[in-house]
Amino acid sequence: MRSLRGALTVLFIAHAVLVIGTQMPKDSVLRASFERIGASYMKATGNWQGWDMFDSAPNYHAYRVELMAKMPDGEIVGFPPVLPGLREQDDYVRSSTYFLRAIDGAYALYFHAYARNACNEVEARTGKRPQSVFMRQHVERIRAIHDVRADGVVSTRQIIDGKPGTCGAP
Amino acid sequence: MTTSLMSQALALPERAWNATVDLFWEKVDPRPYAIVRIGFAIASLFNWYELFVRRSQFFGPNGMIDGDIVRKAIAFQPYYSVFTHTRTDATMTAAFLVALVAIVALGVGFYTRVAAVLVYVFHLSYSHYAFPILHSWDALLRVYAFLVMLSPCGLAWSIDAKRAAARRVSGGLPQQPSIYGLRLMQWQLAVIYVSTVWLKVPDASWRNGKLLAYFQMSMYSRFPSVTLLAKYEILSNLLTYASLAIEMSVVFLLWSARLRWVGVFLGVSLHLGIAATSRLTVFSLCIVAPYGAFLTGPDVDRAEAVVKDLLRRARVLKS
Repeated sequence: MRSLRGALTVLFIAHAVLVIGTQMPKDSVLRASFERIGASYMKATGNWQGWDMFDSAPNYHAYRVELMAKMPDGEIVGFPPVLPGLREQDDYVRSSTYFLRAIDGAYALYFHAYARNACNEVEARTGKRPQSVFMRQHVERIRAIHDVRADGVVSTRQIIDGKPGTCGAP
Repeated sequence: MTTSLMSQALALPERAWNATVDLFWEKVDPRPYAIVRIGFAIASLFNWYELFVRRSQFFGPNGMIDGDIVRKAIAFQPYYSVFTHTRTDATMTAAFLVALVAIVALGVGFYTRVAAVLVYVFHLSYSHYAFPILHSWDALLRVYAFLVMLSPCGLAWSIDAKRAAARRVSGGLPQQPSIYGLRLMQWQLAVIYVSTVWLKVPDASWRNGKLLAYFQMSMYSRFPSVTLLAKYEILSNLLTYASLAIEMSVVFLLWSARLRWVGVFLGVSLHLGIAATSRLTVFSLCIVAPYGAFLTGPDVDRAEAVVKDLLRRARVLKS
C-alpha cells in the first residue's frame, strides 16, 4: 500500500510541476524543457491551459459581423453570418470570439470551411452560387479615456473587410 | 556518536519522503470534496446550457466549425474529442444529452465516479473540437473535470453516500477520503491566480489603473454605455488595483487557517462583481467552485452553523 501511494505521489508531483512549468514565459528555456517532457500528457489529458484573460485592456465597445457574398453578376450582397441558416449574430461572447479569431486571425484555417458552408447556404437561399464570400466587421473601437471624458463619445466606428474565401463548386 | 549522526542523516531523506507522501494521503473530511463537486457541477451545467442552445452553430455538420478542419488542425496531436466522430446533428445532440445526465448525476452524487468520467470526457471533447471559441473558463472546467474525476468526490452530500450508509452494517464507519485531490485542486488554483497576475502586471492599463474603465466600456461589459469609471478615473484606479491585490493574495489567504474566510469573502466578492458587471458569468462560477478545496471539516461545520442560524432567523422573522 505504502509503495503504491509512493508511486502515485510521484505522479501527483510530476503533474503539479508540469502545471506550473508550462505556464512559464513562452521564450524561457525552462518552459521549453517542460513542454518537451510533458506537452503530450498535458494535451491528451486536457490539462493544457493559459491564463492570459484580460491581460490587456479590451479594444472594442461593440463588434458585429456581416457575411458579404460576391454574386455571379459581381454585385456584393450582405447576409447574417451565423451558420447554419444564415442567422443574425447574437450577443453571446463565443460568437464574437469565433469571428474575431477566424477572420484573418490565428484560426484562419477554420474560415475556409466556414466560407464553403456559407457559399452553400447563400446558394440555397438565392438560387445563385456566389463567386466568393468575405466577412465585413463593424467595429466600435474604444477611444482613450481622456477623450471619452471630454465629449462623452465612447467609440469610433470602423469597417474592416476580411480576406475573401472562394466558393468553387458546391 | 559519529555512527548515530550518520544514521540520522541517512534517515533524513526517508523522513522527508514519508512527509511528502503523507502530504497527499492524510485522511480528511469528505465534505470539501462535495462542495467542489457540487459547485463544479453547477458551473458545468450553466456552460452546458450556453453551448447546447448553440450546438448546431459550433458542433453541427453544417455549422461554423468543420470537423475535417479540426482533424487537419490537430493532425497527430493527442487531442481526443467525441465530436470529431459525431457526423450528424442527432449524434451530436445525443452526446450533449448524455453530458447533461452526467452533470446532473455528478451534482447529486449518483454513481459519482462514472458521472465524473463522462463529464470529463464532455469537457475534453468540446474543448478539443471548438478551439476558436474557447475562453479561460473552458480551461478551468477542463482541468477541474480532470481533478474531480481523479478525486473521491462522492463520499458526502451525495446519493452514493446515502446508499453506502444504508448498506453499512451497524458499527461501520463512513469512509474518509485522502487529501490528494484537494491538494492538486489547491495547487491548480494557485497556478491560475499567480499566472494571471504575472501576465497582467507588465501591462500599461493594469499599471496605470485604467483597465477597469476600458473594460466597463467594452463589448464584454454588461453595461458598455456606462462611462462612470472613465469619468471618475480614481474609481477605476482603486478597483483595478483592488482586483490585482485580491488575485495576488487570495490563494495565500485561503491556505491560511486564520484568514481563510477573509480569502473566501474577497475572492467571492471579486467574482460576484465580475459576474454582475460583465457577460462572463460562467467564468465566475467556474473559478469560485474550487475554493471549496481549501476548506477543512471545522470550516464546513462553522459554515453550516452560520447557514442554519440564518435560516432559523429567517423563519423567526417570517413567523
